[in-house]
Parts: sequence; structure tokens; C-alpha cells
Amino acid sequence: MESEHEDQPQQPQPQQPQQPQQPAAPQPSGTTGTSLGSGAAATSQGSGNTGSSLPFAASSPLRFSSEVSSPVSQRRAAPAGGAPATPAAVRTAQAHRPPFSSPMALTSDIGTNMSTPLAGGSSLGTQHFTPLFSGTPGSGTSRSQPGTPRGRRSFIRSSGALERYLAAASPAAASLSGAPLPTDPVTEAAAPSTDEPMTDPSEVRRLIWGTTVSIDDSMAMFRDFLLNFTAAHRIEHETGSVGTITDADRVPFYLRLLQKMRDTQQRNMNLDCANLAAYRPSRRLFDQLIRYPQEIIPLMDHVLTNIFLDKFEDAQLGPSESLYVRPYNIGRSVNMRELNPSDIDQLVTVKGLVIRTSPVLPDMKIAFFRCTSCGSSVEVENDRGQVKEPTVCAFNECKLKNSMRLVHNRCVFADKQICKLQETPDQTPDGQTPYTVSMCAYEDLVDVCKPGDRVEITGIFRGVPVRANPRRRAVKALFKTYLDVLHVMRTNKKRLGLDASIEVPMESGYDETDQVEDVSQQDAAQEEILRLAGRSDLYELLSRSIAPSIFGMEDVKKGVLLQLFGGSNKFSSGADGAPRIRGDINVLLVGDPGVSKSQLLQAVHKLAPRGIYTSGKGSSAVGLTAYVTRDPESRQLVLESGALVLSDGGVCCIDEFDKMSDYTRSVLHEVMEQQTISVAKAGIITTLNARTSILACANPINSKFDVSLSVPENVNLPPPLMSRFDLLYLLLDKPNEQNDRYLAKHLVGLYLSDRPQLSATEFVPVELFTKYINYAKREINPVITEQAGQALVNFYVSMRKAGSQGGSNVVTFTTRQLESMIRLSEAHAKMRLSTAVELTDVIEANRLVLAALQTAAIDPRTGRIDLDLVVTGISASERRARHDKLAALREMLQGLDKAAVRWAEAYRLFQSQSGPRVSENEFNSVLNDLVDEGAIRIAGRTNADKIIHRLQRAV
Amino acid sequence: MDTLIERPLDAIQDLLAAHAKIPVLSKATQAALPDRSLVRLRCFVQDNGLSFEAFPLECNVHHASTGEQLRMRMMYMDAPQHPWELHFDDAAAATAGAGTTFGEKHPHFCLGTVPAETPWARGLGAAPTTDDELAGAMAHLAVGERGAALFEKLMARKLGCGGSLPSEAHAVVVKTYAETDQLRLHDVVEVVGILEKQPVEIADEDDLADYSLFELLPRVHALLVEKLEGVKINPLTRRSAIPGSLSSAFDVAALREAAISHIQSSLLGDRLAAEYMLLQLFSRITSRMSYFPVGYFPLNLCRAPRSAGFASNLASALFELVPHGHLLPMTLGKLNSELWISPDQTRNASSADSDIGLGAGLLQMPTGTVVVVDETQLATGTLVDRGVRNLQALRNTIQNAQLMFDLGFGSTMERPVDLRFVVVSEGKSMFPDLCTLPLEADPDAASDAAAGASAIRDPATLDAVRALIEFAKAGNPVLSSEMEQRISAEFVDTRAAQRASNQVVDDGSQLLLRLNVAQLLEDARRARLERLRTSSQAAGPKPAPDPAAGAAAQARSPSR
Repeated sequence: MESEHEDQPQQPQPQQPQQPQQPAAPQPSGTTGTSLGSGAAATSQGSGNTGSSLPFAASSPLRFSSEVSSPVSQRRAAPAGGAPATPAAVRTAQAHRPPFSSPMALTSDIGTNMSTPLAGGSSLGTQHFTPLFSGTPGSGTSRSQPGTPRGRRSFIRSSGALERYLAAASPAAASLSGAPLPTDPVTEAAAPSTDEPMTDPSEVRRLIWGTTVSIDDSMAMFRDFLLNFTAAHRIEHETGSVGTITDADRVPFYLRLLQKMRDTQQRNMNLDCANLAAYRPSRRLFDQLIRYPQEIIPLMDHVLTNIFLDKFEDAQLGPSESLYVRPYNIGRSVNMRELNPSDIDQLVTVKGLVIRTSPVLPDMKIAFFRCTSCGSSVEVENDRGQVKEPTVCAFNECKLKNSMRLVHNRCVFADKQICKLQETPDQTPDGQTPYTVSMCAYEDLVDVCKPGDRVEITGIFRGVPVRANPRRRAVKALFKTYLDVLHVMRTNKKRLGLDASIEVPMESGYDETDQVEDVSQQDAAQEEILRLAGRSDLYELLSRSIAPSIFGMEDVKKGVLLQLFGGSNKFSSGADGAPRIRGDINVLLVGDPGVSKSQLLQAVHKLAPRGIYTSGKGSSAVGLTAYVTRDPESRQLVLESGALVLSDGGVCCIDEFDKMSDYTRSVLHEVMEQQTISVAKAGIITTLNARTSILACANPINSKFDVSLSVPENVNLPPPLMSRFDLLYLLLDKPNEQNDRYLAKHLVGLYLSDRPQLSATEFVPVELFTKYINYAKREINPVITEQAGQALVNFYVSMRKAGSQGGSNVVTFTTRQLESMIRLSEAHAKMRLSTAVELTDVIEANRLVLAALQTAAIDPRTGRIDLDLVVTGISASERRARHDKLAALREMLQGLDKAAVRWAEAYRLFQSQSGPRVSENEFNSVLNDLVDEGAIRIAGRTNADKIIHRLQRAV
Repeated sequence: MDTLIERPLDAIQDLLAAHAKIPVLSKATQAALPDRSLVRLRCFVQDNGLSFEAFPLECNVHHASTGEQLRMRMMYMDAPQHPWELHFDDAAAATAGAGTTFGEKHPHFCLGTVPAETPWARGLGAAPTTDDELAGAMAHLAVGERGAALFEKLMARKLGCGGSLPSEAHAVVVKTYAETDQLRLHDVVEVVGILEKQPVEIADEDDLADYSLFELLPRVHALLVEKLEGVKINPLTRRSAIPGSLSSAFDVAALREAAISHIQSSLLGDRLAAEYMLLQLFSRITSRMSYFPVGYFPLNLCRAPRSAGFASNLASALFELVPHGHLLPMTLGKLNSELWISPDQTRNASSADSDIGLGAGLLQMPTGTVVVVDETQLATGTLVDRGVRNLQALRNTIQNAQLMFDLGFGSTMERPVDLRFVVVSEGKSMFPDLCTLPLEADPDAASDAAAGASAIRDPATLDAVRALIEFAKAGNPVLSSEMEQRISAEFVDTRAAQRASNQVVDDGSQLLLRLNVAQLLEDARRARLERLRTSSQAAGPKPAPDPAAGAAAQARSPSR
């Protein structure tokens, strides 16, 4: 290699002109714009021609690319031979040109050109959606259609040297492109490569330069793969057995896909690389694809196109159109951080978040030059960002130097977009900020990803030298790296932990798979999840891990655990948009201050996939739902989501639920039943989804729970709202010295350096826990088995019966609780990663509901479960007592000789009549009932100045 | 070599001396230091999200005028030095594969002026510069008026300061070459490296968008990187366990007394509060149980007088003792428009602007920075969206010892930070879960303070106190079993008593608080016993490592 470098200055060898092209990248066309600006004459000439030649350029770009071969394509066609005088000449000429006019000026740093406009180019660019311009087919070795120069993705071509050998291997292709300077490929191939590793010219022609990859072999392998691969191969490869293979799996897969592509006029084939790897004869091709994508992909395009044309003779494919292979699922997705120089020019897959995209840029594909003197024209292909400006008129009679001017509107443009991909937070290690990587998307892939999308990009990793100054020739010894996008896979649905069943299919024409059932790779995380799921003490372990710093409260933690998993969302069968039955489980915790309710909420908020924590005290209805703000810079109205919308598909933790204003709380009615939020503000009228589970906690009304009162009396919450909670737990602080001791020990344990207490108990780390929940929510959709269904029915019936026993007409169980039971059993099954709801799930759900009921719905006066308490706030026994009170009061008031009585007096009288003490509240509510009956009228606001008027009415 | 083996101490001394001779890169010296010279600087890693750069290890370069060729190694440079030029063809040839191997380097955006560094610590690290010098110095490579304006604009956005760039703002791009040298976010590092500064001419309006901020900054190619962690972060205690000059002056009991009265003077003479403050200076997060930071001790001083002077006096008194401190007056104006509390990735992002990476947040500070939050400055008024976000971020950091990074499009990332918060407020602080301590003015001590008698004046004592705090902080916390027993028992008793008297029952947070205090007290005691054994001073009376102080805190802060 040393010697080669030394040789270069004295004797410009043919491969040297190639070298400048090799590492360069698809450039933002803005670059081209700059260069055009520097050659001012060219621009003016171009604009003069705009109107007249536009149709011409649009209609027959191919004519130029195939017939008038540019020096660049010439050189490519000509292998490393000494013969091509032109490349050498061009090279020499360039060397003596002043820096500002050098073709080098055409390249510049990629990332900084996102917004540089190129006047006049875009209209042309859009007319050629599928650009075609290959002077020389890279896949020229084709035997089946030797004379067909097919369009190729120009950005793919990175190694000029490789192209040379490819072209050399195809005399047909070389002769095709022979226009001004025909060359003999065979002699050229032999001459310069004596110091190369491979010296046999015939060998050289068949191998990809610098490798042992045989072009013929690779093409044959891909042809074989396309024609013979069946789904059965994949199944066999992955499962190792042939048991599950059906006859349908034996049909050649890609022929069907081709048929579909033909029917849908699709020009891109998404190639699942797992298939390539699973098909034994093409295993080697898979490796080659990963290592030398820019050589192999044109081969694949070519083979695919030929097969397509062979198969569908009537196919509508323009003479220069090609089908494109879009490889994906290469089985290895690297973190952006792990990319390193050794990955340059290899096929890689990275995941990330798209943070910005440039406008669509016209990327100059073919530059059209005309001689100002003789009028002869020449086309130059853009080779990864560079357009080699011809310095000498190619026409033999003319040969004028520096006479070539660019004709702007006869150039060919293609769409291009520069995007930035950012590492996602979960990939970012501690102590680091997220990396970003630039990507260039071309043609069909433009505008496929939008800012905010989480995507998995498969592409070729590239490096380009950084220019020290756009106007200077010198570059820095630095390479900026970026990705040339080949395939985009959007992963939104997986990442956000959304329930798959509420996901609306994305509206987009962009097809990202080949529609093969995606057998997800079992990565390490998944194995860990499955291992965890297999544990017998899974339920206890997970519930214990919810908030390790909180001691006890097993049942509450279990309830919350099931809430994290949630039940299944159900849709009525039929059309889209049919009402959906909520699968989210809502939990309310009511308890004394100082029982770590808030800590539990905080812990859940950290665990839940889309957890939002908010305090009822501070949040207004607006903060919870959505609000409209004006963007300070653009002065545009922006709709911003509140906590409930943000936690769509997750858990919304609301602390101090009881301290919310009534209006705010009323918003929750809609959320908890319809699971939507309607917004009508500042001209924006919309309904947002808020499919969220709510975990709320509230303090008792007098800050300490009064055991002699029922739950609704203790909590300042309207019963309709309360009944929407599936589980309602009372967290009472029962004095217990033993518990205190445990608690103290637990907390002190955090501070001990050796931590004996903690090491004894095992906890699931937060990250794994979150992954586990996400996995369960995403993958598992349990179905209720017959047995479980029967158990649910039995339980429901027995609970109803228990209520009606003894004729006391107490409601113990309602359909709402039945629904809760179903949801809880589903959640329990999900937690076990079981696809069926079984008896054990129902039994546990049953236990939890009972445990919650026993604490929440026990009528303190009778000691029996009474759901009326929760639903109406009045227990059945109390209702009877109340009825008595009502009658007594009515009687008392009727019995008074005055028509009006002061409130205080009436209260005192009533008090003296009745046996047990009647609270003022109770008295008032009885009075209100009387008002409703129309028996009395009350004037005055406060108790002190209220006057009760008896209404004259026939009694 | 022989000397190295025979008299290693001398050799190390020589090296240290040589180290001291390397010129310091600062804003003031930057213009004068020649290109490609060896420099050292202490800097703070604000953003390490810049992706790696590949470079050919060797490449051909051309002489600009003669065209002569040379093979040059490309380590520790971004571009060959004039008159040598690297041509595109040669760089491109490098990618052709076979012959060239590539290295990678990692650029980091570092602040040459470490944020929140207190004046004395800054003065110890480098020669102090005057504002006049700063005004004349160039912090960037952009040439011409346009370039300077562009730089100012980008830099102001990057640092999150509204209009004008603070005069001391100084940033460099530090490039590390070894994998192990990768710098972590918020590290303070001392770098010895090669300065590369080649002016960038920006003549054309159209060019403005082509330049990223990072190209306009001087680069330092790191040869040696030393992370300043633990006691090293304090320039006083960086080189030796106990500075020799100090050991003789070490009478810990006296030092502690001096420190307390020093703080006391700016706390209306409240001695207990001063003791708490000192304890807080000893605190650090020793471990995290899932997300619960153990050893975290944010303090709330309430009943503070409503005068702007109080918090700033307290802050300046504290900042005399610690290497890093920041005073944050919470005014509506600051919250609404001047500050960014948490760093974010998409600040003012629009496709027209060039990328600035991670926009700096105020709370990006070195570990252990004392942050005095002055809540008394907050008046009634409207918080706009940004104010609300700032307040939420501040609350989140104070409560969970985590800094939230806004990554755009709703995604955020939380990273642990260890900042020592002191919230000064009139009533109880708006931030929950602080150790609340109502101030009680002591007229006698306050009058002393007014006379300035109690502030430490002697530089040697001051240094000794600073070192003491640093060492006490770095110690590993140990809680003796007897202490543990005692605290547990007391907890149980308290709960029983509280129930009996129908008070709010402690849910464990008081217990945690008490554990914290006890542990810190224990630390303070041990710092005296162990570290200072050399000084052969008998330890003074124990600073009461019993829960009495904790109980006192409880008694005075029933509303926690």
C-alpha cells in the first residue's frame, strides 16, 4: 500500500480518478447549489434555458444517461486500465485549477445544509420520482438481460473501485456506455492492478474488489433465493422442526410477493433478512449483504428486476426503471453509541427517535452541461455529492477548455431529506446525553418518518471528510458519519407501552414489512421476562417490588399490581368505532395521613409505562385535561395535553383526590366512563383519548378515619364517582407496636451499610419490572376459559344471594363489581403471561374484591357488606333508620303549633325526641328530604339563621 | 527511569511541578496561547451527546505552496497545521479500505468556567482575571463581526441565557481519544492537551447556517484527563490527604466551632440552624435504593426575614466554605423568561437553525454544589408555561435528587444528581419533603454578627474548615448498631405517644430525617477521630451524635 501511495503523484493511474468519488456521500443538494453559484456563468446560462428545455429533461432523462456518457461514468465503465485518457486528463486539469472552481467545492459538511435552497430545482426533481440514470449498470454482469441498463439508487454506489470491476466483468455494459471515448474493458482490467492482491484479470472481474465475494455467485444465490425460498425454510430454521409446516408454507414466498408487487404497482421489495439467513443456500449472501451492502444491493436490485421482467412480460416497467430491495430485520440492532469506524460502509440497524427532518431537498442526480462554444452537451452523474464539472468540451472538433456551462433545468433531480435520529432515553447510559445521528432518506423514503416517531432504521453507515471551509479545497482529518436509509420501521406502538388493542392503525402508504408473520426475536430481555414469569412466587415477588420502601399493605400492592397490567379492552364486534368496554382498573386508596399513600403513588408513577403523577390540590380541570396556549414565538395556538391525556394507555396517579374542586372532579366522570376528554377552547373543538387507569388517594373528611362512620361518610367524594373505582382500599393506621418496630427496622435498613434486612428479600429492579409490564400488556391478551367463566358466574350469584338472605334487602354485589372481577382476573392472567383466564385468576380476583369490599363497603352499624353504601352513600340499614327519622321529623314539625321554627330550636327538639344522637349533617339531610317532599321550606343560609317554614298542605 | 524507581516521591513532585508550568487555558489567555500548544484547563462537561468522529490514523498531506507531499499522523489534530493541507482526494482515499485504519475521537462540549464555582475555588485553580481582560478576550474562533455575532447567538442559546452572554462564559470542545477517557456528564475534569485553534472566516450571510457552534470553539485534544471526584473536586484537598500546611492548625473542635459561628452570623444568630447547615455541608448521597436517595438532606430554613439580603448573605457565607455554590433567587421574571432549570435537547429547535446539542440547564452543576434557593423573592403573579416547567423541574430535583432532561416529543430522561439544596422561605417551603427548620433569631449572636466578629477572617483557618468539610463529606457513613436501636425504639415510642395524644402520626419520614441527622453527626465525629489522628489532638467533646438534635428538629418542625 505504501508503494501505491508513493506512485500516485508521478504517474496518475486510472484508479486515482476514482478515489475522490469513493468516500463522498450523497450530499444535500444545497451543496450543489453552492457550487453552481461559484461557477456563476453556468447558473445564468441555466436560468436562460429554463422554460424551453424543461419538458425535454422531464421526458427522456434516460436518453442522456445511456447514450451520452459522461466522463464519470466513462471512468467507471473503464476498469483500472491505463487506457482512459480522459480520466487522467480530467484529473490533471483539475489539479491545476484554482481551488474555488474545483469540483471539490461541491462537497461540504452534511449536517449543516438542511435548509440551503436550490432555486429552480424542485419542480424538476419531483417529476422524476424514480430517478434513472445509470450510465453503467453496476449489475452489468447480468446474463439474462445483458443489454438493459437499469436505474439504480445513485447513493448506494460508494466504492468506485468496485464499480469498475463490476463494469469490467460486463463487456456488454461497457460497450453500451461507450459514447465519446470507447475503451476496451479487458485490457484495462489487467493493466493497473498488478500490485493489487488479486492479479488474475479474469479473477478480478468476477470478484468484488478487495474481497473474495464472487459477483456471479452472489447473483446466482439471490436468484435462487427469490425463486425457491418458502416460509417453510424460515419455520424450520427457527423452530428446528418441520412439524408445524403446512402446504401453504411450501409455496415459493417471493414469487407471491412479486405478484403482489405487480398488482399494487409497488416498486420496492421489503426484504426480511431473517429469510435470507434462514435459507441455507443463501446464508453466505446474507453475510455479504451485511458487510458489503453497497455492492450487493445493486446486484440484488438487478436480479430482482430481471426476475420480475421475466415473470411478468406485460409488466409496466419503464426501460430504465428498477425494482429496489429494502433489506430490514438484519437480526442485530446496534445502539447508536456502539457504532464505530469499523461499521462504516456496512449495513446497520439503529433505533431512535426522529427529532427533526429537513424539507424535501432536490438532489441533483445528473448535471447537464453544454459547451458555450459549440453547443455540444454532456451529462455528469452526481457521485455521492460530487459533480465533476467537465473542464474540456468533449466534442472532438471543439475541445475548448472551460467552456462547459451547467444547464440548470435539464439536470435531473431526486427527492432527498436529511433527518436527525436521537437515541432513546432507555438506551442512554448513565452519565451521558443522548447521541444523535444524521440520516439521509431518498425518494420513496422521504417524509416516511416524522419528528417524534420512534423508528428502527436499516441503512448503510457512511463517513465523509469534513471540509474546513466551504470555499476551500482542504479538508479536515475528520469524518462525519451518517446513515443512508434503506428501510424504515416505525416502532411507536411497541415503545410507548400502549395497549395494542387500542392502537389505531397508522395511515400511510408506506409499507414496512413483507407481510410475513413477524416472529419476534427472543432477545435477552425477553428471556429474562419469561424466566421471571416462570417463578412460582411471581405474584408475591412483583407485588412486593412495587414500593420496596413501603412496608406491608400486601393486598393494596396486589391490587395496584393488577391495575398496572389492566384487563383487556373489549370491542363490540362489528364496525370500527364501536363502543369499547373499558379494561382499565381504577383504584382508590382512602386512609389516614401518614400511611405512605403518596409514596405508593410515587412508586406506581415510576413503574407505569406512561405514568403521570398529579396532585388534586393544585391541579385544575385544565391541567388535567388539555389546555390551549399560544406559542410565544410563532404566535400559533397550540393544544397541550394535560395529565389525563398524557397518561393515555397508562396510569394516572392523582394524589389528594378529595381536595379537588368539584368542577375538576366532574371531568373525571367522562374520563372514567367514556375514557375520552372533550375540549372546546379557543376555537379548537376535539375529543382526546384518555384511556387511562386512575390510581387516586384521598384523606378522610376529618383527616382521621372515623370508624363509626361508613366510607362515603368519611370521604368527601360523590358516590357516583366513587363507584367507578374497581377497588377501594381503606388504609387505616391501626396502632400496633410490632408493626412500628418492623417499619423502623425497614427504614433504618436503608441506612445500614451492610443492609442485612434488604439483602434477605429479593426485589425486581424497576427497569425489569417496567419491561415485564410492557411485555405483558403488549403480548398477552387473555381469554376467559369456560371454567373461569363459570366461577365468575357462581361467585356473582352467591354474592347476590348473600345480600338478599334474611330478607334484609342489602345489595352486596352489583354488575359493576362483576365487571371489575372480570378485569381483575384478566389482569391476573396477564401478569402470569397466560393467554387464558383460569380458575386461579378468578379466585384471586375474588379474594381481592372481597378484601377491598370488606374494608370499604362494610356498614359500620351492621357489620355487613353493603354496596349501597358505595353507590348511594347510604346503607340499607341506615336507609331504614332514616326513613324512621324522616317520619318522626315530619310528625314533629306537623305537631308544632307555629308555622315557622328556627333551625336551632327544631334541632334541639328533634335531638330530645330521638334516642341516639343525630348529627347536624344528618339532620340537615333529613330536612332536605322534607323540602323535596314539599312539606317545608327553609330560608336562610347558615344553620344559625335558618328558619323552617311549614308549608300549608293537606296532610 | 532510575530516579523514578529510587525516589518516586521526588519524581512525582517534579511531575507536579511540571504540571504547574503548563499554561492554563482560560478565556483571558486563549487569544495569546499559540495554536498547537500544550495547555491545561479545568472544565465541566455540559454535553457529551456529540457523536464520535472518525479519523484516518495516517494520511498524505500537501504543502500549500510547494505541493510537496508528506505522510502525516493524524492523532491529536483535526486538521494539519498550516502550511500543510489535507486534500479531499487523500482523505477520500483513506476510506477506500485496505490500507488505512481509522481511529475515533469523542468530542465533549465543556465549559471552561465551571458553573457555580465559588470565587476562592476559582482563584485557586487558575490565575484570576479581571473583567477588563475578559472583555477583550475572544472565546471563539469566528473571525469578523458576523462570525462573532453568530457565535454569541448560538452560545446564548446553548447556555440558555436570554439576551447577552455572561462575560466569563468560556467553552471549549475537548476531544478524547481513548475509550476509557470518555467523560461523563457533569464531570469536572482537569485536562492536559493540545490546543487547536484555527480561525473560521464567516464573510457571507449565506454561510451563517453552515456553521455549528462546535466549529467555532477552540478544541483541546486531550492527552491526560483527570476526573475531579470526591475530595479532588476541591482544589484545596485535591493533591494530598491533608495539606501539610494545614495539619498543624487542625483542632477539629475549634474548627467546627469556627465554622458554626461563621454560618451563624448570617442566620440571625440561630446556632441550631447553623449546626444543621454545617451538617448539610457534610452530606452526600451515599446510595440509592431504587429511586430513594439515601443520605440526601435538603434543608428548608423558614421564617426567614423578607429581605433580599438575607439569602445572599447566607449564600456568600456558605460559599466561603465550599468549592461550588449557587444562589437561585426565585423571582417570577427569572422563572418565566430568564432561566432554564432543566437541560433540554430541542430548545428553540427549528430546522433553520444549526444544531446546538443539549441546551444547558441551570441545575447542571458539579456534584455537591450547594444551591441556595431564595423563595422569599417569589411574589404573587402569573407563571407562564415556561415558569411552570421550571418550577416542576426544580421541585423534581429537590424532591428526588434527579435532574430531568427534556428530549423533545414528550420523552424525558432522568439522571441522578447530588446537589445540596437550602431553601430559604418565609413560611414553609412550597417544595415538599424538606427538613424544615424555623429560624429563631438570637439577638446577642446577631449583634455579634453585625459586628462581623464571628466570620472567619484568617485564611489558614478558612482553608482548614474547607478541608474539614470536604473530608467529612467524603467519608463512608456508618451507623452504629446501638444508634440504630435507639432510633428505632424512639420511633416506636413516638408513634405510640402521637397516637395517644391524637397527633399526626409519623409515617417514617421523620424517622428517615432523624436517621439522616444522626448519620451526619456520626460522620462529623468520625471525621475528627480518624482523619486527624496525625494531628495528635485529642478529639474534643463529641458533637452530640445522639438523636437529641433530631428530636429538636422535630420539635421545631412539627409541620414537616
